[in-house]
Amino acid sequence: MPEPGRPPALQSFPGMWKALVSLLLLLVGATGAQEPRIENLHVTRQNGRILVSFELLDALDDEMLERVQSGLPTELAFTLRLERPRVFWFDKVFERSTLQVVAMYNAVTREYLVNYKLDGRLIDSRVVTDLPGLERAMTLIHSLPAFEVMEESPPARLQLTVRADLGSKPFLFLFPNRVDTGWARLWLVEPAAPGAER
Amino acid sequence: MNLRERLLRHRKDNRLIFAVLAGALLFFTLVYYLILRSQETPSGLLTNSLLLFVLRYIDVVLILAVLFVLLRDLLKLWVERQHRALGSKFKTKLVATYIALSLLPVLLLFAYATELIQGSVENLFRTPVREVLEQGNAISQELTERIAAVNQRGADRVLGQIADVDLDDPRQRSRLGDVLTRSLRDEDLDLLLVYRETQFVHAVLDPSAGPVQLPEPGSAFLLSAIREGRAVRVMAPSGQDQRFILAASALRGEDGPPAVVVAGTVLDPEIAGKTESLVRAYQNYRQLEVQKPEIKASYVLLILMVTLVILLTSSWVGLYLARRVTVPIEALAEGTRRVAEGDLTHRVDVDADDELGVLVESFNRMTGELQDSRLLLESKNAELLGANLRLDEERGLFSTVLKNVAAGVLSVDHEGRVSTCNDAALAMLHQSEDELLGRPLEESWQDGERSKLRELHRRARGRTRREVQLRLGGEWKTLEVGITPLHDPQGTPTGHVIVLEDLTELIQAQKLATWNEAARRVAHEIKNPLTPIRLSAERLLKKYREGDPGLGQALEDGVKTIVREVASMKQMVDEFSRFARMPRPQPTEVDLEELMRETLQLYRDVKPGLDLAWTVTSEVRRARFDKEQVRGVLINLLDNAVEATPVPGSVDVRAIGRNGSVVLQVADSGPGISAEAKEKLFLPYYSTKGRGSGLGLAIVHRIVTDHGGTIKVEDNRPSGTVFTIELPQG
Repeated sequence: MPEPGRPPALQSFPGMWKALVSLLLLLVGATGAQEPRIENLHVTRQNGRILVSFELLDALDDEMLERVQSGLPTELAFTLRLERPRVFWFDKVFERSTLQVVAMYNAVTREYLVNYKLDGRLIDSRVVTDLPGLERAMTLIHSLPAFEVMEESPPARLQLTVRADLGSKPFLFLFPNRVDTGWARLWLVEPAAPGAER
Repeated sequence: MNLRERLLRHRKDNRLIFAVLAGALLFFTLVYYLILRSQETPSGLLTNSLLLFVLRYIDVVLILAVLFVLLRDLLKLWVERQHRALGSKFKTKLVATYIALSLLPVLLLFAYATELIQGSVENLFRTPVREVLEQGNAISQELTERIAAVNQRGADRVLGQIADVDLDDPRQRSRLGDVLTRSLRDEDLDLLLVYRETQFVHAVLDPSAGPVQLPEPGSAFLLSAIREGRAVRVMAPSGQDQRFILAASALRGEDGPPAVVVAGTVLDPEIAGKTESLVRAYQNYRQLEVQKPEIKASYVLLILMVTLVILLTSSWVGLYLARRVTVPIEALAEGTRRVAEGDLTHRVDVDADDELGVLVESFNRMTGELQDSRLLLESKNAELLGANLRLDEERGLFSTVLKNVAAGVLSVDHEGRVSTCNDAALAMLHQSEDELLGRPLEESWQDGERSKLRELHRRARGRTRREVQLRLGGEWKTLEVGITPLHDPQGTPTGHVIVLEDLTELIQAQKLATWNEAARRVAHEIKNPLTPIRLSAERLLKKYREGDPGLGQALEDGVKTIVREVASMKQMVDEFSRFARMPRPQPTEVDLEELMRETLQLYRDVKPGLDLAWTVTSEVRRARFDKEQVRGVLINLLDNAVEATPVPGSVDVRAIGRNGSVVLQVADSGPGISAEAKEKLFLPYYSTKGRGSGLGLAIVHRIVTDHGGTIKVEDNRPSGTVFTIELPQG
């Protein structure tokens, strides 16, 4: 006997109703899942340099942690750019830096070695013994001396953009599809007196 | 090469250029993209994924190449089929077969190889292997953890035992050393380290542990122990083969920095090496497991690359072979179409050295021969057309002449049917076209008068010429009828031409002229004897009146003269009478040889020195005509010939057969006859001898004509005259 309030097609196929609900829940769950992103982006000026701090959230998934614990070098690459916001100008990037955070697990000592390379130069190296420590070491970047401060005739307005590259996953098995966080942006109103605005 | 073919070749060249440009553009685009990717992709990721990266791009390029080759040819085929190009269906089937033959096995091979590789990779990570490695790793971890637990307990106890030792007081170091040495022995430890926070205070080492250097656990480890109260670390100092398992316990004092005790065990190098091997084997296994998708992908991409290379090669070769077959066939089909449309100048210009080449060569040779035949045919046709035009003109002229000619002309086919007749013939015969055309003569000329013509036609043998008198339309007509047999080029009789000439008026005129001439001649002939008679009479009268004594003599002479002249007049009158009363011929069977012998016998000794000869051929020995009249003809002609021929000379008489007629010829070697005399020779009362009545040859002509024959006079060679008489033999 047909149930009131339910479409006839679904009444004929009771399993379909459950399947639709499951699909909806899956979609809601997928929508609710947090994408990797960069937050808490801010800068400070110290000794003529711009120190950049930010936090990468929801980036280390199980697959990446599994990769780290297998002993394979696992890298997060952060691209930092200073841009001049010109609409009709192709060369917006004023300065660019790349921070590579490479983690490698030593199964014998059961320690995680985390190396930091700024523009290919090793600037720091840390050893952590647990996963929370590893996640903090890889995702929490504090006071990174990314750029030298331009004292002479700096641009009136600069924008700091940061993006994390999380590797590549092929699309349709053949076409490489880069996984990244997208650009996080921060306006630098006055280079001489650095402050952040969103 | 015609314009269309040159344009096609030119277009083909352009396509090649476009293809090269497109390929170069695609290549540089990919290179540029690769450069961009390499710039934006961190070096570590790039290094790890380099193989996959390269393989993927090679595969993409190969896929595009295969698609380009296939789609290009399929598109061309589709366009050709849309335009209903000759050979497109055959080409479609051939290309589809080639593609299917190359695609199916290659794709099957790819699927099978992919499945095989994936199965092999999966087998690599089978559960037993994983379990063994996991167990080994677990044993290693368990061993480490147990040692670490023992050390941790030892560190805790030592921390309690040194609680009352002032670590900052150097004087209590000896006591600290004693406590640590005793604890080292009691807790079965290999080393003990004591720190005030991260500041090293004292250490003891079990000499039985072997020659080892004291490890430096690191401030991070110590701070972790202080923060957490406990900490464990496995140390593998670089450059050493010892492994240390350290456990730290920290105690925050009420005053000053916390104390940290680190208890450690030095692993036996052999055990350390084995446990490390177990751990590293498991780690390697986990690395492979983590990289399993990439390993699979690399193998699959490798197989895909090989598959695509094979597919590209086979497709290209297949399409090339298809073109090798279809291009000559298309060219032949196009050639056939052009030839069918009449263009025999078209030649198939295709490079082929196999059976198709033989076919192309045969086609070109056949077309060439067709072209030659056509040219010859056109030439003949033009000639025929010209001949027909001339024939039409001649026919028109002939028709005009036939229509306007005074003579009546009829043609009769070999069955005796009238096929043509002109108006003059219809007028002469008093018949309409319907009564004659297409009808047999037996039907058209069945009445009594016209049956004479029919009979003449029936009896005609060879050329026949007769005068026929017919009573048509209530009046008599004299027609000269000429019948000439017709033959085709092979000599087969095809009928007759009958020419009718109306001689009625001419004969009447001739009769009038003849009678005028006759009257003149009669008057002249009568006047000639009358003059001597009148003179004799006048002389007698004069003698009588004068009483001349010679009257008797004169009378005798005069009477004699009168009698002689009267006799002459009587002879002349008799001849006129005989000419006028000439009977119609009474044909009988005649032995011509006998007639000839009897006649010539009369002239044997007439003129000594004159050679008389005669000949009768066997086919005319028996003939049918009026013997006496023909004898008269012969005598007349022989009289003239013998008289005209001086001695020595000859007279030759012959009788021969010709076209069913008897030909009599009388030839002499005399002086001959002038052309003017020949025209008047057969007129009555014309004579070249100055004596006689001049009726001899007129009578000969009359007899010959009455027999339905002809007579003509010609010059003899080298001198003399030939009279030729042609009489119908039957």
